[in-house]
Amino acid sequence: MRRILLIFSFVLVATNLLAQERTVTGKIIAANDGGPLPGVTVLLKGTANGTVSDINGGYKLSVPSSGGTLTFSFIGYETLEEDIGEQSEINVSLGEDVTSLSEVIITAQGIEKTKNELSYAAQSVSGEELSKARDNNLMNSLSGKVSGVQIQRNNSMGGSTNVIIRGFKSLTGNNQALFVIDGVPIDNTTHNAGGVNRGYSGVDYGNVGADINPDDIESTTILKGPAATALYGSRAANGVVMITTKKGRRNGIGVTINSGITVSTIDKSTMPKYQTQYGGGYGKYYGPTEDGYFDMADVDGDGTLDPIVPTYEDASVGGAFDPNLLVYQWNAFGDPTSPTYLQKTPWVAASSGPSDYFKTGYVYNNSVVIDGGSEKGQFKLGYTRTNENGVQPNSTLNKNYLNFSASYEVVKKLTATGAINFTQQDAVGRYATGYGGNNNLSSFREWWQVNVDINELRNAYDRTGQNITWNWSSGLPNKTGLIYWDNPYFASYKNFASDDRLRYLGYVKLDYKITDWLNIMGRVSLDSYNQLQEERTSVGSINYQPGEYLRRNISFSEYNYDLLATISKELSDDFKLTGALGSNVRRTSFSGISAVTNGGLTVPGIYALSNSLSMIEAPLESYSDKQVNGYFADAELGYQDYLFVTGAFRRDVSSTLPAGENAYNYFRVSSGFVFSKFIPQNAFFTYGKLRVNYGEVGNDAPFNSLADLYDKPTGFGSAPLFSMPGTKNNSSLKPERTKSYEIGTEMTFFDGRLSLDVNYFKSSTINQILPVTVSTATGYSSKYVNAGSVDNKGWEVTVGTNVVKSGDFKWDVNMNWTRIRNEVTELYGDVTNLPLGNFRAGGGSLNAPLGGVYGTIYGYDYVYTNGQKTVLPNGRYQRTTTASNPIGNINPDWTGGIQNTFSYKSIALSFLLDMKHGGDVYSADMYYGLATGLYAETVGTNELGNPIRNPISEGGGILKEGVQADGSPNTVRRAMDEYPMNGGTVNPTSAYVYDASYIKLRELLVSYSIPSRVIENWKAIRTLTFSVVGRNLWIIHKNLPYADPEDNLGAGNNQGYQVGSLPAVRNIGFNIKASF
Amino acid sequence: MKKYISKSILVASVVLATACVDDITSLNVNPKAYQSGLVPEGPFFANASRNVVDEVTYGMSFKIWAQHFAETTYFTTSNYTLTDVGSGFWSSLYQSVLNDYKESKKILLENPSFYAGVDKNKLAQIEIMEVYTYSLLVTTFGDIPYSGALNPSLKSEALDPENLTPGYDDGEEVYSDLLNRLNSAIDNLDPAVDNGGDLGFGASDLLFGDDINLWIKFANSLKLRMGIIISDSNPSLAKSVVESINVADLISSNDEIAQLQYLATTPNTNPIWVGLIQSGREDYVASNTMMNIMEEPAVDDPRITEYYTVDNYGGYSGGTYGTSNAYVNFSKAGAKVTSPTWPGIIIDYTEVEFLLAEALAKGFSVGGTIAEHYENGIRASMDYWDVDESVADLYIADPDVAYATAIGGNDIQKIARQKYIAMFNRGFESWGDYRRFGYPVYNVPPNPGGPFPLRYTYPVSEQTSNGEKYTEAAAAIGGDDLNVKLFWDVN
Repeated sequence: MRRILLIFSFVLVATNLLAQERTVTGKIIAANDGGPLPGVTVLLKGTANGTVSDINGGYKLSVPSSGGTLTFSFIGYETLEEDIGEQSEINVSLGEDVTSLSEVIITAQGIEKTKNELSYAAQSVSGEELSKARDNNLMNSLSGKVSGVQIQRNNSMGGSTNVIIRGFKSLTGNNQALFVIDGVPIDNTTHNAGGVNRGYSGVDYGNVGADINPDDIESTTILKGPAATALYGSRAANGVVMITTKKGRRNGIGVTINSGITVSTIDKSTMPKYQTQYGGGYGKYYGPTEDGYFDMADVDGDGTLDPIVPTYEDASVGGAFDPNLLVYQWNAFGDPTSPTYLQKTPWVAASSGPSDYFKTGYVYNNSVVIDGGSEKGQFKLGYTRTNENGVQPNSTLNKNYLNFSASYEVVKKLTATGAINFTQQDAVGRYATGYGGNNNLSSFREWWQVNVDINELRNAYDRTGQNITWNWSSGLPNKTGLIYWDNPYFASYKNFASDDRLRYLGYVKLDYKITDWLNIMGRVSLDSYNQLQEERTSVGSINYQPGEYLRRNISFSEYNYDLLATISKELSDDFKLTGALGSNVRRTSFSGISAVTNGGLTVPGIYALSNSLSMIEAPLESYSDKQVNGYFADAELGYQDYLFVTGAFRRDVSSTLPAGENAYNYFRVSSGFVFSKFIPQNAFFTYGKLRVNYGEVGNDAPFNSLADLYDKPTGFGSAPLFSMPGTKNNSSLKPERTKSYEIGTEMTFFDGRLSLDVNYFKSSTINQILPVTVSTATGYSSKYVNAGSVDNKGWEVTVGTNVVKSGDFKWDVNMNWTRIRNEVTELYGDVTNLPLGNFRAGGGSLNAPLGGVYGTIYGYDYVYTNGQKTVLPNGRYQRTTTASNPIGNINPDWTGGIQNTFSYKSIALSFLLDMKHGGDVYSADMYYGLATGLYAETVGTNELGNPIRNPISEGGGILKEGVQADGSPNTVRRAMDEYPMNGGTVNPTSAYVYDASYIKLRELLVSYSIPSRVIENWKAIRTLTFSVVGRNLWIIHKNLPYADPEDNLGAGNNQGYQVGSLPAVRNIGFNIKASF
Repeated sequence: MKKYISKSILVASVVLATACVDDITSLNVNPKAYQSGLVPEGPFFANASRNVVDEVTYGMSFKIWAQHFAETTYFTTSNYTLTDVGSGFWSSLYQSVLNDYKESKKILLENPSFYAGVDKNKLAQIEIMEVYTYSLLVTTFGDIPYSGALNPSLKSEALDPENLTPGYDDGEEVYSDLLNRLNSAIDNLDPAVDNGGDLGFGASDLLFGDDINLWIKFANSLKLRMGIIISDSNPSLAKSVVESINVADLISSNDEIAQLQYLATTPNTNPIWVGLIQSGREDYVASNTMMNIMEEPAVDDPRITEYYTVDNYGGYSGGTYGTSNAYVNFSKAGAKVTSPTWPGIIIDYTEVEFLLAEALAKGFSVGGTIAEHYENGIRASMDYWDVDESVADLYIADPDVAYATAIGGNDIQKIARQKYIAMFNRGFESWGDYRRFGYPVYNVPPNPGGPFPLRYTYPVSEQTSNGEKYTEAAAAIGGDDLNVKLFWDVN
């Protein structure tokens, strides 16, 4: 790209040399990698006197003896001004200009397009933009920066991130964007156990796309519609995130070193605010007479009964705290080394709560890149290591990235390129998610006693290494069993999961430039990884007291064989033809095996299948193998740099469709028109372009969804068992299609200081291949059919402004805004709703109703009488008898981001506000937490001035807003002295559906580069930059109490549900980058 | 060199082009999956049979509604705060039981053996188990999706994956069709067929170990139960059904119980052990309803020590039904029923005797006297729970128990009371009995979240994926509510 521009620049400026009195020389380098920048325009300000830098970044310019100001400008980089003064040598380093990087965009199959030529929406983000935020998962760094893209992150260490471009299109299939690195598609599967996305307990192992090294990214282009992506085949229907990695420099050898540390803490606004007035219990029914708050037993042997906290109750609907009341608590039993063993302690709220469970996390990040080259070739060798210690105890995530790429002109016109990326990552103690299991958050948010001090639990575990829990089962003081929850530290240190993944990603490529307008490229690429996941349940853990060990091995490989001819020919002075003709063979294989011990572990602490107490059941083997052969052609005809017409065609033959009917074609047509060409040049309106395009993409079926197969459960003794599968396959599936069109315009005003990009798009995904959920009275729970159609339409707006540009000070604001509307326009047969998944509590479910929105939350709703909520005679809200009432929609009304960048000389400050407005989330945490009396709103006084927790007979309880069945105002009080208080089933599902809007201060960055003037004296170092990075610093606004509205459960289609939600994590990083 | 490289590119492109020529759809076969045509019918029959016994064996909501147990902290089931309570039962029976029986039958019909008589026995066994499974559904939900194979008035197409929204059939019509099917199946069973070793499903017959005589007894006992269930709603049909049974063909000892002997290792253990012991939870204690009834006679019921554990105070006590109870204070499920290998029962000798007693009380002619069958029922139960005969004698002699003077206002109540005690661990049948007898009197939860459940509501999944037919069915039975009486429940 630089070379193309170089030629332009020469033409423009090289003729302007004039005789002057003295000479200034210097060298211009790129701030990001320290490499020389050829082709930079150097102008003496206010004159026509200038030059361009040579291939080594050097320049020489005659200037008046009085000096003046030099401006250094280059497309894609910030313009810099330097006073000449008395200097005869002026070396500068230019930073990348994010706003103008879109000047040249790398599109599908690596084809470069200028801004003029582009006839569809594409948006670029520089590698610097992504890596400076220092998030381990590249996808998170895109949040708020690109219109049309919805990023739903996850607060787990290395957790998976949902990347949806232009809305949910597939009813049950994959909606995730395709990631492509240097032309090679990479797998981004989330290998979690099936229930994780639906809130069942488990571990989020993250999406494997997180194996991309953010430090190795040169630029990222997001191609949003299928019109832009027809050349990548079916998988690109969901949009493509195209990543171009850094390349070696052309001349010489350079070294870049980056070192950083990030400090992480939880955002306490995403943890519950606990009440501090009532302790553990479920009401007043303990003790021999079943009317007290405590169990009674003669613990100290003095002949009188002593109060014991009902430790087996995981709620805080117990006795009011009273520092003068001494009771036996959990810490009095089970552990003779406890300082309070067999001692009474005051009945008070804990001084340290669950927020103190979290510690400060650290991420260490170090990378070194050596690159170099000559006229003939270039190479790059990079190594990056990140070590993360999470905010939960016993959690680490290490990644090693080793990248090597080289290209060499073997003989004239023939260039060989090879690249290999080796990624190794291993994690211990990824955070458990979902309900129960090892997810301590589901205890902290839902089932807890506020008298339990988290630090004491930590001490108890540290002291003993045993499962000394706050949640002893009944039987105290004689017996200490376990009931619902482990000591949280025992859960995290003993019941941890671990995983290890080795990934090889690479390609070899030959480019042969037959003539100056025809190039042939052949490439073989491989993406392959092996992953081991291990999950442990310690002997003595509540989850399964005999102990358990589970292991999963996953192997994935994808080979792509590409042959591509690209043409770029000036047909005449006015017409230019560019195009591509190619074929692609894609073979994707997956195999997995998963085995688990049976009946317990023989020897505690040994996690091996051979340690199984009973004979293990047969391991589960999973398998898939798929091939798609594609042929494609793409041609663009340009007229005079302002009118472009493009057509593309692709034919795919897939192995997963019925033989003979497994080929399908798709195409796109698009056009770009630079209409500003016809507007007289003026300072107000500087550029305008109109884009129109239409495209269709076909898609095939999942592996093995044609023939019917049996399930094979473990035999009953020696009798074998077989059973019918839950899903009925279909041998006559046809390819599905996505059709979409897009109209967009791109304009700049005020000499380019204001830019505006507006798109309207509409897409329909029809004839979808989906396992439609069917009545189980058919014998199946789902059946594969071709049915269903989903429409998405929306607006995308991107605005860039240079608000202030005054001397050394610059202030840029970039904004993007997206609004997408979705509708399910067709389902199968008589089916009027497609259930997507059930929520774990409260009767809620996620659905795609016909005529409704994909992602509609169904559940029990209020029953209204005269427009008011109806209260039953038992003080509860009346609930609808059916659970199929639409009570929420997970899709936001709009999303947006505002980035402000301030720079003064070599200091830069930027911050990003990331916003989501609307969209709902169902909180099982609130459903339970309000029922178990944990939260602050479960105490207080009612309208009579009495504590609400008093019995109704003593004026307690709350008066719920609404009317009685006869329409009269409600006078029935709801008791708050017993479970489920004002939570759980007391209210309909809709009471726990919250608006998931947020405004977040996503990024804050301050960087300082040592000025080149200073650095040049240090000889060895070319650039040196310090930066401080804050990420997820502040949730400025949200409506969901006690949790992060963004936190999701794994990646996938089942969103909008929180259970055991993890708190948001704030990161502050310090980074030093030096190049030599 | 240059030429050589150009040639390589050419060769590479030819290779790529030809790689696309082969029929790649052959890749779309999972070599590790079991395709139809490779598996015999037996394993499907065994799997379905295991699954249906699992459903009636665990069924904690049945045991709780029958007030054999009370709950501890979370007492939503015992105070009838119920949402989507029937979905597991429904989907398990249709998907994991009936669909496997159907496949077993399909394989059998497509692959007949050399011994037509054995195949006939197998088809009869499948038929009996299907009738049993549908009888569970129809007495629980009311109108249900069913197949119209034998009765032209039945229109829906349950278990048809081509019809994704099956309609519901009238429960009463389904019931009479089931009785017809059961009669034919009984007629088709033949213990003396020409065979090559197995008489029926052989080793896949987990319930009776290939004993066709026991199948005959089981089928007739099932017929007796099904006849008695409709004895209030359709006395004439009930009478003809019951009186058509040869009493000698009924289960007549504890050695002939229709049951599944569970195994010691997971996943084939008794599901009660899984739910109550393996899980480590403390959700259920004995109910004061059952406990009071057992302790009411002067002689405490000797089965009490088998049904429940001693409480922490060394005695036997039940938690208050329908409220929360401290686990620590009360008796829990006893060691036998919580053992991993305790069998799961479909129908047993005890039940048969009480059914015969009830038949007599309703004027059906089945031989013997009410008192005889009543006492036989009690003795069968005592024997089942390993109570010494002498101890049983003492109990039966107690005036509150002895039939002539037993507690209860009439014959039915006397029978109902003792049957209630004997049907411990048989929650499904107990819950059904209560809906017919209304006796012994159950406790009422102090703050009920809803009415006493007289049926299961249809699964929410039917609302969302079969909405239209669901709505029709709900209207046909008088609303999809827990307190809607089913056709056989007229009292």
